[in-house]
Amino acid sequence: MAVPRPVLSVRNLSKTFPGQRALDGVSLDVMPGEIHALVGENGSGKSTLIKCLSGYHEPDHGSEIRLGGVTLALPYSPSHAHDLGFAFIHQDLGLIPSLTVLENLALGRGFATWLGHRIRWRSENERARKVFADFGYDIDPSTLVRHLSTSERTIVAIARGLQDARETAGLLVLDEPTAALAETEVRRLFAALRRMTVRGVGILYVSHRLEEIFEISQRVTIIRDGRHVATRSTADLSERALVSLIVGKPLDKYYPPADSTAGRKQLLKVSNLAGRRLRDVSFTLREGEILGVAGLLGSGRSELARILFGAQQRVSGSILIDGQAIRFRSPAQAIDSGIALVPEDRRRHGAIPRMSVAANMTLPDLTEFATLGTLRKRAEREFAQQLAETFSIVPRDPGRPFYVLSGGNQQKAILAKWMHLNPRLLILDEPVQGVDIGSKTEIYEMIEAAAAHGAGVLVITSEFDDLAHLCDRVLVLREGRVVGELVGDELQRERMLQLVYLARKSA
Amino acid sequence: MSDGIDTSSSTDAPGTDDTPSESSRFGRERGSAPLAVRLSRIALPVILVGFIVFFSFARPDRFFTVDNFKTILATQSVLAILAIATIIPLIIGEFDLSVGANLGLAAIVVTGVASEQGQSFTVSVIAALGASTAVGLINGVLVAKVGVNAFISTLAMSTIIAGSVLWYTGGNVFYENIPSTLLTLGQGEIGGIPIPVLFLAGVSIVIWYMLEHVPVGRYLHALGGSKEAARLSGLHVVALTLFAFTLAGFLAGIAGVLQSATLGSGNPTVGPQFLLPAFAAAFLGATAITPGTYNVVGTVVAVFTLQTGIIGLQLMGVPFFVEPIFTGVALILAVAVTRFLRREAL
Repeated sequence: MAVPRPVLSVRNLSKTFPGQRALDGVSLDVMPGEIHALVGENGSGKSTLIKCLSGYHEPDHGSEIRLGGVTLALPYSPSHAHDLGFAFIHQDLGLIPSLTVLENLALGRGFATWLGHRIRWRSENERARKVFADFGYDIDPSTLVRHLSTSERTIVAIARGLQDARETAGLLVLDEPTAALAETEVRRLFAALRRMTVRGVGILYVSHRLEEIFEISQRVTIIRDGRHVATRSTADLSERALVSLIVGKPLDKYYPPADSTAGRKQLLKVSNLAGRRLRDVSFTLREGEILGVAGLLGSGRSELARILFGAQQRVSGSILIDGQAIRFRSPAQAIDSGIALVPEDRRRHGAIPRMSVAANMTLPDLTEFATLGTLRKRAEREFAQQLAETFSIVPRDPGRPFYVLSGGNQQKAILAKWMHLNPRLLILDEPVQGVDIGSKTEIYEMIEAAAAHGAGVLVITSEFDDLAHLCDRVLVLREGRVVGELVGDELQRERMLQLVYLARKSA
Repeated sequence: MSDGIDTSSSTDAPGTDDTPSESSRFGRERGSAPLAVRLSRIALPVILVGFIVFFSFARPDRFFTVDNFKTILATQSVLAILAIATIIPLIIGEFDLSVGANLGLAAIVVTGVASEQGQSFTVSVIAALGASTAVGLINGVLVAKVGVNAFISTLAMSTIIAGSVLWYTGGNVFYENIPSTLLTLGQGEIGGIPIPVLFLAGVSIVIWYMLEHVPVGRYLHALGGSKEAARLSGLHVVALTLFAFTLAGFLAGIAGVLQSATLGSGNPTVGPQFLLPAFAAAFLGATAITPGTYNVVGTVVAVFTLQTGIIGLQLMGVPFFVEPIFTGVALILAVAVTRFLRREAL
């Protein structure tokens, strides 16, 4: 019996950016019917690899990509990648919510055929319904996409991506497909993916969630610093072994040990803090550490942020920064001490909606842009322009009023407003609430960058999964009290949910 | 608030509450603004020029004369300065309803200290400006520190001042021993330009510069946008509120001194009647130049547009009671048209 030919075969894939080798001779194969996981830390080169496959980046000379046994001529354009047999499902699915499922599928075929032929809606409708049924979904193709659940949308995007793929050569690339999915939705999606592999589709599956990788994939390729580290069968791999391959060193504990910042200086020490809701809250924060606060609305989580920032007065307890007891009477004092707060209510508290993005970003340190009391508006504008680019704020023109920005861009502008001050303590209250997935990723990267530069970060959010990934340590707040401090392998959503809810039941 | 009255949102500039202007105040894109919005920026100045041209042709003998223009400019400078005083609290989202009475207070103090106490011109002016500025500071303390609604506290302050003025004057007009320097201030000219006009020019330039080119101007606008967001951005909300009300008091004081100088006496009934025209000019001015924002240039243009229209109509033989009607109609029209243009543009 002949050895099956890989659907995708990548050899010696490299990509050099000015001053940086993002990918360095990576090779991997995806077999027909295989779900092949791709893992690596942020910045390991994962996304560069996918962007090379999708035609977004042009690979370096000497790279080779074969699809269904055919060596592809490099470079090819992103629009051509689809014709070649690739289907890419990004976190942003690229569906148009106001159109029906079927219309979205029709758009995916490209405009030329759409204009050239009359669409036979009825037979198309039948065909689409059957495709969804094959995946285990009952989706009416005449439904508007905005009425679908997230996993249903993902399925529609997958169906659209695969609809023209040649039966044997189809390769599906899924980039963090479960990031926005609830637990039950993940189950449904996995069932659908397994059905697809039966048809011989190969799947390259990118995810941070290791438990998913063990559940769904047969093999896993680990990359680190742009290099191929290993390709292993997941059945022969323990979670610990996988993590140590990703991180590059053997681990004593499962996740980055709690003491990854142990050598660092203590930045903040809070003892027996009490406020309107807070009771007896104590914790410490080191430089470069990301400390999560998990709690429900009304748990006192926002109050904690506001007290630390001087926006609200505490009732009792002490706060030490660098060992010095502090009591801020106003946010202005906190800002002078290097503290920044990205507040929960972005529109009402985060910015002045009617002022320009630039004016908002420079508001805390406006006097830096004044000489002898006179604003240097040109210098301010140029600085704002630079910030808008650094923080990838769209639209780029910071002269636009703040309120015209999308939620994600508003939040990035608020981050830019604070992060250009290089705060020592950065407090974020629900930083990704109502933010699109693309901006969400960027915001988390900005938070990580701030910590990497030595800032202590306090992140308050209801996105417990994100806390588990982002944080070195998580405090669980319930009814104003710290009811748990999670480190290491306890940093799991289930654990946080348990602590946040359970004792309430017993109470 | 327990008093159940929240006027804070009503100080939004006309036409801005639910359809904010396409251009934010800072870094606006002039070139790309829709035509309707660009028109609304210059509508008021265009109307002013239109009035001048129309009345000049209609009554060339009486309207188009140097004396007439001088009279309009001189008599309206006091009102224009007071209108500028009102926009400072308006910018931070607060009303100061005591500026009219405060103008009266300064007018009485500057004449009274000279005529009753026999003090010099300088002492009188310092006393008058000091009294008005102190009133502004008290307003600020009540609003920023005590937390009394500005609409209510400044209304109360207004009646307190009016009562105090009657107490101090016994209802009499001060007209004896008015220092000649004060009279010169009101009635003199430098290079053919009435001195009050020079004062208006000076006040306009200083306040315009502060609002547009000094960080504190930006801070005041930020406060008007959202007090809590401003506080969480590190601005000193209490200090800025004190500053805004104190400055308004000080400017009302200047207007009051100039008023008594033009009249040549201190009249205890002068003052409150300036309040509504000053606010009308501030609202009307906010529809022009930088629509949706209280601004100095728009305010001054508004004062002169209204007055030119009124004087022109009077010269055409329209009866005296047309003046307040004209002001009210102009205000409503301007605000309504601006809103309409804005809606069309968006």
